[in-house]
Amino acid sequence: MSTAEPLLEINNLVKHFNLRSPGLFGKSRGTVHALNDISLNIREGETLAVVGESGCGKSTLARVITELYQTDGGEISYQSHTLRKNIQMIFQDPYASLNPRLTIGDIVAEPLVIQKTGNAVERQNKVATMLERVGLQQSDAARYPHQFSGGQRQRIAIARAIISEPELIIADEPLSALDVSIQSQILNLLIMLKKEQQLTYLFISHDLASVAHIADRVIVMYLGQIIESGDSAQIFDNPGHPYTQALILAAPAIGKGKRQKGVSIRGEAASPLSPPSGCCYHPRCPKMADSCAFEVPKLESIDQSDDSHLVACPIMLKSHIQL
Amino acid sequence: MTSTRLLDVKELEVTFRLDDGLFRAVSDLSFSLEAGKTLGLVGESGSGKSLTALSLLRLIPKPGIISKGEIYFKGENLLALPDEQMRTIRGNKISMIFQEPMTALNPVLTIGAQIAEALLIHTEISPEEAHQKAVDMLGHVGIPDAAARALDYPHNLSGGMRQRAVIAMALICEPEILIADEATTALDTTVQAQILDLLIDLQQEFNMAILFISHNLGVVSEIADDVMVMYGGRLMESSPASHIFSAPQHPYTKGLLSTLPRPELRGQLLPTIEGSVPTRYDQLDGCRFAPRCTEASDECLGDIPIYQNAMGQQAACIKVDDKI
Repeated sequence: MSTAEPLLEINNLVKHFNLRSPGLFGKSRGTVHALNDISLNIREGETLAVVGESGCGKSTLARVITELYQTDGGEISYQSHTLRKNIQMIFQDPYASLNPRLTIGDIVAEPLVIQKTGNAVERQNKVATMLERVGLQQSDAARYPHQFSGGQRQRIAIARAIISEPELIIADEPLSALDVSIQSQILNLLIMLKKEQQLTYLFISHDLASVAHIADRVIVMYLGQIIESGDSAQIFDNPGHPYTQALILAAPAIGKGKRQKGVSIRGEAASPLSPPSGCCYHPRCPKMADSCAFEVPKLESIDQSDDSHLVACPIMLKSHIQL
Repeated sequence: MTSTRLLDVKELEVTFRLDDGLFRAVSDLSFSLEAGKTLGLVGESGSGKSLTALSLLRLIPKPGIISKGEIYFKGENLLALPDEQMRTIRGNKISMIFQEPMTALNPVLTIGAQIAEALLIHTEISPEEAHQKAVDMLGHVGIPDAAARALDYPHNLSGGMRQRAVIAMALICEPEILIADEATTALDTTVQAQILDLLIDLQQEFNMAILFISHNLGVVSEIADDVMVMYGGRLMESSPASHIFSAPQHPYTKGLLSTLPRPELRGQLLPTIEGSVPTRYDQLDGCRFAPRCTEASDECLGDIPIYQNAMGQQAACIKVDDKI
């Protein structure tokens, strides 16, 4: 990406959740380390994807950026005050994210109402424009969510997200609740809107195929930590971390034929309540060395000449340098 | 290889009697399952894939009924069996694993007790023996420290371990047919891969027929020998897995495969199938896919026979190239 100016910069972000047993005097049941020392930046005009399995902290990251959660450490610097006020989200389930009692017009206009932009007529006109832009009709403004299919509802959610002309849109698994034949429609819509409105996306997903399709850069998370980051091509064509490699290998894909035995990684991600010592991936890692159990790996550049591809695995970095 | 047909479904039709009329959820569906083979069943929401699975167990929820057709299990029509006899087959000869392992397990019973339950119902066995067999089966599906885990409750287990327990429950009576309905959908990618490996292993060991239902074409391509594609309650295409992904015949199959992201198209617009999947209000004669099909013409509103080509691929489409 040519525009290197970060829209948003995150340094050493930490987010913990203290779990308590129910009741006023409930005992503490430990701490979930949802985000552990996360540093990243989102550049203007790019699509940055965050991938990882359940419990890796990717949705918590979205909520911290939108200030739905407070941080427990580290800092988030927004490029401008207007950005901070105008980050929009697209959620996974369009059946849950639209208020069934509001008309489509009211749902889509809501960000403008909250930000006190324009008068009623101006807002109505803008809603009409947005509905057409996402492939719906102006007349749909008078209808209710239950009159629409899942794909159409996701279009409505997208219209709501873009109406206030946000600089950053966070899309948290925007495709996973949709039918297969609808996913490419929505993926195309996101790509087209980005071009038309110069949007920046933070695209959160567990589906590697759609991430490879839409993302410029990719961050791979595991148990609250970033274990690899780089340009999309670097991650998918030349993954550095053993976990990224395993994830790509495990992703179901057409054309590989029937499964060959013995390619899947063992075990499951540990509970974020008690992450493993050292490298949090070491109990599952085929390349594990003795040092992995106590040495916490740092993100380091895989290539000395440029720092675009970072990997948190000293074992892989060592073998890479030797090559 | 000699084929051993275990199950033959002929012209299955499932109908729901609703306040506003009849809704045909599955129409005119015929297929068969063979021992040691996996049939993948692919479809979007409302395609009738789960109802097809439930039909085999005669578990269609009310107000639905199986309104037509026959289901032969080793020569016997399941739809004609009295209820008591059907109960000796359900969970015993034909068993099923579901999508969400948490809801498929009873939260107030131990894992071991739930697995042993099927044995106590279907066989003459002492509770102690049943428990021992349950522990053995837990070990078999890859649960470490099985004797201790058998005494755990579902909430003590992780998602992947729970799905293994559900699989152990389905396999404890050594069924001849296993139905897996979105069995890996709720799991993480790396755990999904492990469960697919496990199913392939267990199939080889027990020579089961598997009906593997999924909306995910990639997952189906990794496990199925044959693939059946449904849309709006009807069969669109049924082909060997070796052909359906490289040479799809039906416009719907072709369309679905073309919409999937692939490396050559990174960052570009993908082909799409316009429109939405049909709901029960969009019932019409002829091909259910016609309203979204780029090749559709007036003929598509009439009866659509199933055509078969030399590769054994069947497609319910009058536009397929080499029909016989």
